[in-house]
Amino acid sequence: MKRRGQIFLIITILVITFMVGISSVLLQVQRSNYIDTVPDSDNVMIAWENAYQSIIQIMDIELALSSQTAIAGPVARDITVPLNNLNDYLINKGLSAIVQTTSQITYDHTISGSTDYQVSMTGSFYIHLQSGNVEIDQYFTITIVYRALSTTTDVVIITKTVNSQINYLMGAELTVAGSSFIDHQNGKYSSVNALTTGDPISIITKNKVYLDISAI
Amino acid sequence: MIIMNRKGQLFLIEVIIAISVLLILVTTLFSTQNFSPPVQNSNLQESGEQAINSLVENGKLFTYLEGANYSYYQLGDDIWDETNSTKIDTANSIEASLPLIANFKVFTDRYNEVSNTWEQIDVINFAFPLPQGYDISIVEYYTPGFNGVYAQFKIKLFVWYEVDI
Repeated sequence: MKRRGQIFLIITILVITFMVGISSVLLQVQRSNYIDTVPDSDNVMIAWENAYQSIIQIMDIELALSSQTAIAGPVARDITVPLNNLNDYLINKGLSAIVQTTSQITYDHTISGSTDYQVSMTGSFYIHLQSGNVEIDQYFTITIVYRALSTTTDVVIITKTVNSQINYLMGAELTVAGSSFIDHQNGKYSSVNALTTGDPISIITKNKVYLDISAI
Repeated sequence: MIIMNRKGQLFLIEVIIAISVLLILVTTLFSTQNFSPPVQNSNLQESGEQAINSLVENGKLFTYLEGANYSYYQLGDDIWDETNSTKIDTANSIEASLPLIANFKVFTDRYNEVSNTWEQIDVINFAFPLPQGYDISIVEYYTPGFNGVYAQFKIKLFVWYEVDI
């Protein structure tokens, strides 16, 4: 009888252990429906998007600053400081981050005062972002080109190209002796008064990129 | 026979007690968990990101930052005038990207290169208190500068539903 009691006790303990185990599994299954299991993935993707856009912004600022002075291209530009700032920002957000260049950042331009003037900047980068067990490693190249083209004597078209994607720029300031320009809000600017071939036109885009062309 | 009947009763009582203990245990385990599905919250997060991206793409963000920067550093205002048309336009653009029943608040900071700290230069919807006990989605955007000038800014968009749904 005593032995039967002991067996009964052991079986009871085993059954209780089994039930508790089953309950824990059920609980985990229930919880998984309500808990976002990939918050790290969202964080990393949002940070990546922001970092990529920031690098384009840095290139754009550097291109603007380069265009404002008479620099003979092609020439290497240093963007270490703003890249380090971006890196620090990402680290302070709690991410493991590396943002660096993998090639020279080069500024170049065509002949100033021509009828088709272009300034450009190109560079290659590496970004590493990690949060928890989610990480991104990416190598990429960015090329930005600003172009002012005199299509007819009185018309100028201004574009900005980022990695082959063309945008027609509005809101630029065009200066020419004896006339002013109408902004057609589609990248096209036309002179109010008739211009003569070779008239110098100075352009400052909204992003403070300086372009100098001549009327065709 | 009498002894066997009593043993059967004791066994029955033990079984009932065991089942009761198990039920109490399972009920306690489940009742202490707060299951609140964050389904609506993810929509807010996406809407918030869309609102910021729209501002960046149409250039309104940089116009706003220029104004907020001028107000804080040149005019000495802790918060840019809520009746300023650029600020209203910025707020309206954000609102247009969010669900109708959502509220939002924006905190704008600029990095001070001298003190190496972030300084709050403006707040949009200053009068709205951040709700307690609601799910709030937060979207942050950093920019190293714009329009040919290096100057680090970050804006933090807080979005939440007006009612708890």
